[in-house]
Amino acid sequence: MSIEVTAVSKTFGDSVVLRDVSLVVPDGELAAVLGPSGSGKTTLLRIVAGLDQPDPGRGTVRLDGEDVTDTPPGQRRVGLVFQHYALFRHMSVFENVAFGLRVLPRAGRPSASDLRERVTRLLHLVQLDGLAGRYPHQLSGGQRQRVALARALAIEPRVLLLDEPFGALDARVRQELRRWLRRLHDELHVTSILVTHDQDEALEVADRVVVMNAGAIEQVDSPDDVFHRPRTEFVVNFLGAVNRFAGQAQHGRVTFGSIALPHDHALEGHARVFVRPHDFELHAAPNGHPGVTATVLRVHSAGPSVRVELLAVSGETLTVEVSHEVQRALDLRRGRMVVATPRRIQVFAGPPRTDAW
Amino acid sequence: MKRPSALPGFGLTLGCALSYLGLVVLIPLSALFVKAATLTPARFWLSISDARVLAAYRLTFGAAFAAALVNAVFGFLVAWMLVRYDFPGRRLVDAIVDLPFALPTAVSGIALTTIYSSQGWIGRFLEPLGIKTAFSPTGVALALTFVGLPFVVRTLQPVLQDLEPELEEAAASLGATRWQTFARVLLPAILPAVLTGAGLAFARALGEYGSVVFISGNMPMQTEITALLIVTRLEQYDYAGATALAAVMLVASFAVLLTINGLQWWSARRHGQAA
Amino acid sequence: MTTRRPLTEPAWARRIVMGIALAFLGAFLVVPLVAVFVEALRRGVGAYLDSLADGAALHAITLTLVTAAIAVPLNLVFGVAAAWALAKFDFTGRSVLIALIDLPLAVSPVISGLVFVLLFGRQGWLGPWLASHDLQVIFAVPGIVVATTFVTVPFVARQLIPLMQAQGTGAEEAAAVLGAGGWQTFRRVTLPNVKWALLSGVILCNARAMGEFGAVSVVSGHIREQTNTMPLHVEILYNEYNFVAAFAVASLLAGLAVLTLAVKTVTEWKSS
Repeated sequence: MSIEVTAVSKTFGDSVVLRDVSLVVPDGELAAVLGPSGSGKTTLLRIVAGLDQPDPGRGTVRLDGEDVTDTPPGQRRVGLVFQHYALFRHMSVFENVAFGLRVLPRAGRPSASDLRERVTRLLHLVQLDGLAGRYPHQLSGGQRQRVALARALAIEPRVLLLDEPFGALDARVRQELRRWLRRLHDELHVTSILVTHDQDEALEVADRVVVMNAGAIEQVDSPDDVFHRPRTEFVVNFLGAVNRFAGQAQHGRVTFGSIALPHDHALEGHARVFVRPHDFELHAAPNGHPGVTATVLRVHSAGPSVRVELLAVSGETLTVEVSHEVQRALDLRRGRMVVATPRRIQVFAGPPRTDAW
Repeated sequence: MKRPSALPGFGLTLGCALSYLGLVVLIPLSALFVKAATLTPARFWLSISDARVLAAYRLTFGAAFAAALVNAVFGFLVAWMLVRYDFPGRRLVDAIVDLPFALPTAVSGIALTTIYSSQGWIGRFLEPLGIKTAFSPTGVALALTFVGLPFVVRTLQPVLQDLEPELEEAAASLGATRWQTFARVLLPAILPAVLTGAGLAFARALGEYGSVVFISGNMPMQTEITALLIVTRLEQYDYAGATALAAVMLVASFAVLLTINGLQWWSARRHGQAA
Repeated sequence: MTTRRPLTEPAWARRIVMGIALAFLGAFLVVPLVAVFVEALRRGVGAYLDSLADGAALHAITLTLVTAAIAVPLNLVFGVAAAWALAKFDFTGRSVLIALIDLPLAVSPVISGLVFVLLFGRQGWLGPWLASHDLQVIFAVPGIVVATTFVTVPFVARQLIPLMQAQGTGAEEAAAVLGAGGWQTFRRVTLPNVKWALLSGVILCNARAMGEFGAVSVVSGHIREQTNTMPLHVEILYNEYNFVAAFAVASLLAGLAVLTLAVKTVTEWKSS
């Protein structure tokens, strides 16, 4: 059951929330739509769900080839999971999950025993056996979200749409549920879209990541590609920490700070250079390696890797990530002089930006 | 959260408040029960159960119940409209819902009587249809509906406001029609609040006097409310009889309020939060 | 930020709901209110003004104003004191105290008058003592004032308590640490934060004080030009079939009600 969004635009009042957005999610894939608040990702999801419509004449939504742009949500057979669960408080877990089956038109409604069997099976799938008689307020956040998922799956949806499903949960529960969702998806293969602003979540769970910004899609790629081969500046900045430099590109080389590196982009003129913290190598200074000479300002070593803040002689501050071995080897501490050599850089055209960097 | 008593004025304010309350509210109220206790059980029972009194109970409780029911249904519609729909003049309509709280009962009493009398603004249309409103139990119910109108609306508005739109969206995505969403999801969620509001309206209507005594006609055994019977007995210097009746009314009011509290507590337990 | 609108019912259903709701409000609220003014002016402005200038009417107006002028400030002070004690401190019996404050609202107005007859009437607890000192409470002005005060006890407190509770003690504690005394803290820190709720409470208290009928009817004795408040005067005029005069005096009270609603709406708007 593939999802095809074609040239969708959406305006609310004066603000343009989606600009001519097109997206294809192939059958069986889990796509994560990632972006900051206001990027339009939730609106996109709601349009796929049928809770909102594109501006008249501005775009279509197709589910498995069928045009559903004007179909109401109840007839699209989509499963929806919300950030705050939206469970029916006055109904038990069983009744919540059974809801979609109970409201079917008489003809299609399952018998009582059939319904019970299906609900029990679903509760087993989400690992909530035995909780059928409980009420939502008696459950933990993680349990509630699993009930919401079972409820959405009860109607055997063509696609599953999740709007920041783990946003309201504690960090640890979030991680557990994230992994569990991925395993569930591997088992069921329901085409899914997951909206999130948490990049770790998107990168860990998804088959493909859709990065959105200000109503438009910046990049659609596998998690690996989006992180290591960002196509736009926004993607570099959004995914993970990054160091920025103003530089010049000329004849296949790019210079910034005191570094000159070959770069095979056909770029000329001003350049903006991005280097991720873990893409720097640190060496004791002085040495012959090309790099930025800098003094160590602070060392944060409480964690799986060591984060080092450096002050370059040219005045910029850098953040570099190294292993504990390197920290020991170089005896990194405040005041040490080191040379930071970039191993991998991303370069984009344009003069240095003075706005929010 | 335990707050330290670092702030000044606790003793002074609590002391003042308690003494004032005791003097103005508690001592006078206790006079009622003391007086009621001076009656022998036999006399007490007679006082509160003769035919005229029973007729008054039937009318008062019946009309108050009917009024509460009407207010539950129409008050729900009003609250729904004020919360869900946007229309010019909505603020004005919202403000006017509180009129029964602000308007003196005597004023509403004479206004309603004039409107529903046989030549009245509305009465003249109902008379030919055989519907007698003024000077009948129906008139009493109408007056009590006026008095209790704000209760359901004001109790429901915050509850409706706080209903997450996601609930309806979830129901819709699961295939429910608008009516199914309303009947299975929304109505059960707001029912406790409707009952609370109706209960408050009912309690208020039980003791209402000013709005009713003009429109009812005050005919013993037919359109005499309990409150009027108390006044009548007082005018005849039957203090004991009046007190006995008052005690019954108070107990009834408290019973209703306790039921409402019980309902809210039960609802909180069952659904995990207040109605 | 995208705006989320709840799914809604079809237009025809919306229109029906609105139609019924507005018709209901119109019939029960608007028509009576309008009727008061129309009936008051039925014989023209001249007759209207004459009714208000009548001696008995003027006396009733004066008595009503005096009663309110005593009851409202008393309950204002009580309301502030109770709200301070309840909102800024934690102590056992808080919920009992709140329930007690609400008591007058749960009691029928007639009973509110009855208890004072039992207390101060000739056969009441203090009856003999009052008689021997040649003092009269029941069937005299003091009785009216006392009954009105009883009935309006909760109004200011009920507006203040939830608000002050929600506002917590942070600001006041900061002031105390900076050295401010109790009264100073109240005047400069608490009061500005609750002024709209306070105004709302006072205006509601006043509306009830001036409009109270049942309780006052029981204690007053209905003596013309002595113990008649405006609502009682309305009753007398109406029972004498003097409809225009009754509605004329009633229109003053109705005007007060409209003013009360207006002020209440403004305070709600200002405090949000």
